[in-house]
Amino acid sequence: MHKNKGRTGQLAYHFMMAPGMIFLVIFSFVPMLGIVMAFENYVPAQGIFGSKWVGLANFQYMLQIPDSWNILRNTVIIALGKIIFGTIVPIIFALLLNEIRLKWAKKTMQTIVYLPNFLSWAVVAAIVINVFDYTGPINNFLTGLGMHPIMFLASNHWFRKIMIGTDVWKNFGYGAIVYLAALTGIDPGLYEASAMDGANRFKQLLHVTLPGILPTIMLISALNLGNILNAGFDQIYALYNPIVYETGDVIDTYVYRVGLLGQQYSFATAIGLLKSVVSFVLLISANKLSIKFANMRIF
Amino acid sequence: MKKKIIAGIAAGIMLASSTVGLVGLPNPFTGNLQAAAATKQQLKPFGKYKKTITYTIGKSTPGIPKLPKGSTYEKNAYTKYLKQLLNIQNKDSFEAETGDSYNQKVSMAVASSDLPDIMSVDLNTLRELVANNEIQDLSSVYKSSTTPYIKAMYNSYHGRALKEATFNGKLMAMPSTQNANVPTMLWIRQDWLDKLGLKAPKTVDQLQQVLQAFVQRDPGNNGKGNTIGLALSKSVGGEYGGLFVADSLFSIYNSYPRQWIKQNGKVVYGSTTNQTKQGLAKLASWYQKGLIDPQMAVRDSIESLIISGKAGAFFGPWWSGDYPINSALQKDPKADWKPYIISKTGNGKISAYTQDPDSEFYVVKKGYAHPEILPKIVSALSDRLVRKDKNYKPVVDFVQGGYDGGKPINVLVNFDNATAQMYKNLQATVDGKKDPKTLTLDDTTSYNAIKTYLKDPKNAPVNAKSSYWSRMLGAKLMATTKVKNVDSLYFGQTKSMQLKWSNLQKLEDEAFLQIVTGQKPVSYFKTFVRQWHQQGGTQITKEVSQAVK
Amino acid sequence: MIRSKSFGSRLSYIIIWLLLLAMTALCFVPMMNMVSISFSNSSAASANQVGLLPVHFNLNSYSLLLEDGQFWRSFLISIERVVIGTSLNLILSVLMAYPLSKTTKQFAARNIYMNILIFTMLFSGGMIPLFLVVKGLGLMNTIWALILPGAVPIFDVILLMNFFKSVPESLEEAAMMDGASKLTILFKIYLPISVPALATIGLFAIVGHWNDYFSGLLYMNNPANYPLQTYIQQLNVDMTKITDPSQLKALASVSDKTLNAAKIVVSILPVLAVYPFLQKYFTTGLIIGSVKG
Repeated sequence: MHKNKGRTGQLAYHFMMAPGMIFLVIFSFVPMLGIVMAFENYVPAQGIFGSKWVGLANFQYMLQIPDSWNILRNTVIIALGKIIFGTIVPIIFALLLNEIRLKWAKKTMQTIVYLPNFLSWAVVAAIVINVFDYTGPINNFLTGLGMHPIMFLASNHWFRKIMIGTDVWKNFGYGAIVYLAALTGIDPGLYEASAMDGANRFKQLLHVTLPGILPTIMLISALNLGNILNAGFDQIYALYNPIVYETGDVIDTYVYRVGLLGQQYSFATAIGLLKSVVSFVLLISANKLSIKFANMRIF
Repeated sequence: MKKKIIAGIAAGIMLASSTVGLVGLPNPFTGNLQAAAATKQQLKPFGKYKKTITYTIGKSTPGIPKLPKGSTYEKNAYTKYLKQLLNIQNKDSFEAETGDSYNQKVSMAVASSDLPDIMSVDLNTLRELVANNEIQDLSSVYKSSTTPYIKAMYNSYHGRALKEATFNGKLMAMPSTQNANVPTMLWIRQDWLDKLGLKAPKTVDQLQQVLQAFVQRDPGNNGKGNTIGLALSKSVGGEYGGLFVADSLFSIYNSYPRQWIKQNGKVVYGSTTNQTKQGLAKLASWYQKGLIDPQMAVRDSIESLIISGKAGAFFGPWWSGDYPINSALQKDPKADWKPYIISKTGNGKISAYTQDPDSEFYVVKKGYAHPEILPKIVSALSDRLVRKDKNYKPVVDFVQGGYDGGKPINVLVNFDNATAQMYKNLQATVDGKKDPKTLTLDDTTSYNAIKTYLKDPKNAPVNAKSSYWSRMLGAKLMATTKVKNVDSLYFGQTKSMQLKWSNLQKLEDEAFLQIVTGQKPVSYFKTFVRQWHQQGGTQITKEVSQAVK
Repeated sequence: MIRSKSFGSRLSYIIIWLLLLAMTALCFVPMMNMVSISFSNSSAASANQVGLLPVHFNLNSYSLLLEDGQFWRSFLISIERVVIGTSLNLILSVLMAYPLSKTTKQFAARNIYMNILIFTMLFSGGMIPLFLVVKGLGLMNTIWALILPGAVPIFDVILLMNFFKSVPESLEEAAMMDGASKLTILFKIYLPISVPALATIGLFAIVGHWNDYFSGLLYMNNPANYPLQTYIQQLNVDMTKITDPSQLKALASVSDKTLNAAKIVVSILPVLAVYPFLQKYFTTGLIIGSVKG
């Protein structure tokens, strides 16, 4: 009786998993068969299973292209910039906000800075284009100071900085939430104790506050490690132009433009595969690291 | 419950395997094969079908939809015209904005082997489609279903226009053509010449003297040292019909930078020839004398030099009057720019390289039963509609309403010397030898501007002035200058080019700029050529020679 | 506390305030500028004279927008997508999270499923194979192409699973005694106490569906079927096509700035509408997501 019930229980569980799994099979596993394209010279008319097998030729080709290193560099610079500033700025904001006692002011400021996170990149791109326009507000300000206007979005000097800056702009408020939560978790007794020892505010920050949120910082940083090859397709695709390919072209945009628009399907799949593998390894290590150091697991 | 689960799993597997099937075995023959082939009557360029023939297309649309209210890309003045004339109707497989969005749709259509019956592709895609046997041979329908006028336009390129679309003797696509835009000319400040009492330059040496006078005597009152003789682009040369590149100077030395040309029976890359070295040496000596914009290496907007009145001369195509001179006139109505031809001996005879005669290629999917529909549409849109039926009311209203994007396919075929033709027609009309009513719509607009200008040249509005300078002065030089064409031979990408070309271009760009600005001596050219060959140039030259054989 | 109000601490308090206000203004001003442009007259807008407040306040662009059929069509498509997509996301997440929240003793295949989920979250076949599948199923140009490929939001499943883990075992056992089926337990016992978690993932799904622009570009064969954010992205596109810096300047003057600004403002209204709820729940999301292991 009992045993039987266990079996139906198991079946019920499988039954519940089934609808989701069907979707995963169709839209995740079947497309994964496409990965074989990375090892062949995919000719659409011959199909995935009829095209010629070329082994690692697409990967070798990737290493030979001078563009490769440039694109890898752009990707890592932009992604790292976003990770670093996307960690520091929210921490600073959370620390500052934590000092404020005025409830309504706190709430208002939070409401405003969280908002950009929920806008699409299509909308944010429109805002960015408006602000950095050749005759837009920033350039008005520059010319007001007697400087020359700058074509920011068509400048290889500025493009990466703007990508990092606007990404931080969009996300720092929301990113601060987790640190604010961590800050409230710090035992107030610790502050009192250090105040007794004559520690000033700065020393308290150094010896109580920062150690208190360190595990959170570690966890978030570890999570971000998996993003080191994700420089943000939606953002860059919405903002770049041929003039800034040199500094703004990242793996995902390159795959899209050269691989997909240029119809080098196998080549595109090969780059995508390599990127997936590297990200996968990074995330698994990140998970290990966060279990080890922060006693938290990502999944 | 068990049954349900099993059924569920089975359904999942079936769905999965059916998609595998679709992915693995795409069927290229999904067109309406069953439709009967065209009769002899229907093969004629304007032979009308009895039953409406529907054809699918990939529609490339303007960025902002500019159709009249109630019209669609499948139902507007142009599709109505085609329906009336030929009884054909387009159905759009996809519609996307010209550029990335359209290319993405084409790429996805190719990836899934599900092409529309007719679509426009670029040269590389055309080659892929031919290699993979996915499009039809159009040789016979081109013969049977294209009007003589269209054929004459294609032939005006002396075979170059159709050659790119021909593979093993078979015509695989009908291209849109790009007509000649050379020679580029020297545009110079006539008011400065007059002020200094100088004659317009005809040779390189005379030009040098004029530039020297401009820089030293500051006729524009820019302040000492602020006048720039010649405005020049960072790329220096090799952009066909481009603004601010010194192609007309290079050609005097028989140099054709950035072009694949034939020299002594061999295919060479123009940037690496000794002749190009001579051209660069001349520019370098001018730069050293201060005759060229000293900040050319870092100049973002060369136009600003023209608009602000700092520069006295630049090389530009016939339409330079419209841009950037139009902007310059708005700032300073007295800026009097005039075009001249510089030649070796001053006799006005020059040479120039040709450009890619084709801008895009229209292909017909393999298996589509009515391939003749493509040449018929081309004949209808590029011949009949602009000549015999040019007063077809719906289309006239459409164009005059400022609408755009109605043609199911944007194919454009024109004579190679279309600009010179335009000038001749306008001149004849001005001289009273041609009825203004016979002008095309575009030319009528130009003619009205020219009339306004001629009434009172001094006080003519800016747009009338710039229109006159472009179409009557610039285009006149196109029509009357004797040009020896040097054919640029290759425009695609060979296998090695995909890998190495961007690097070689960088090497080339830097070498040109460094030599002109004196950062490297002219003798560095030899080093550049050696490096260029070492880093893949030799191999690429071999591949190109093979490709153009 | 009163003692510590020395000059130094007051000064630092002022600095803190200034920094916070600056950061807030940095977020507020660019958004507000967009709103102001939409209410300004177009010549002031194209001359870039609009700052924080509208210049020559008027509603012209909004009345123009009312007549823009394509905009509203796209708007409706996005709404439709949000409603269907979010419902599907929620149903599937709930159904999968419940069995996964069980131990391997209770559900033997649990870890196998879990590994499959994590693998699919981190690994994909890429854009082209997925496209071929979507096309092969005949979903092109339909709203299902935007919804079905992302029907299982794996991250949400994991969030919800972690939340379900915290539900006391005793509740379920009591219900089992009464002979309730698993499905009944899930819907009668788990769901009512999971409202905050469901609200969290539901709201994030809403925003995610609303904001996605790229799948519209990929799967819609006709601009008439673009969802709203794809439509908005196409407004920006002219800028990204430039190959010559001089074009950038020319474009600024031709585009219809106030109308586009109005489109953007209206396109974020739905996000603003759910924003108060989002704010209420997004901390929950972060907390239930990070369960100590």
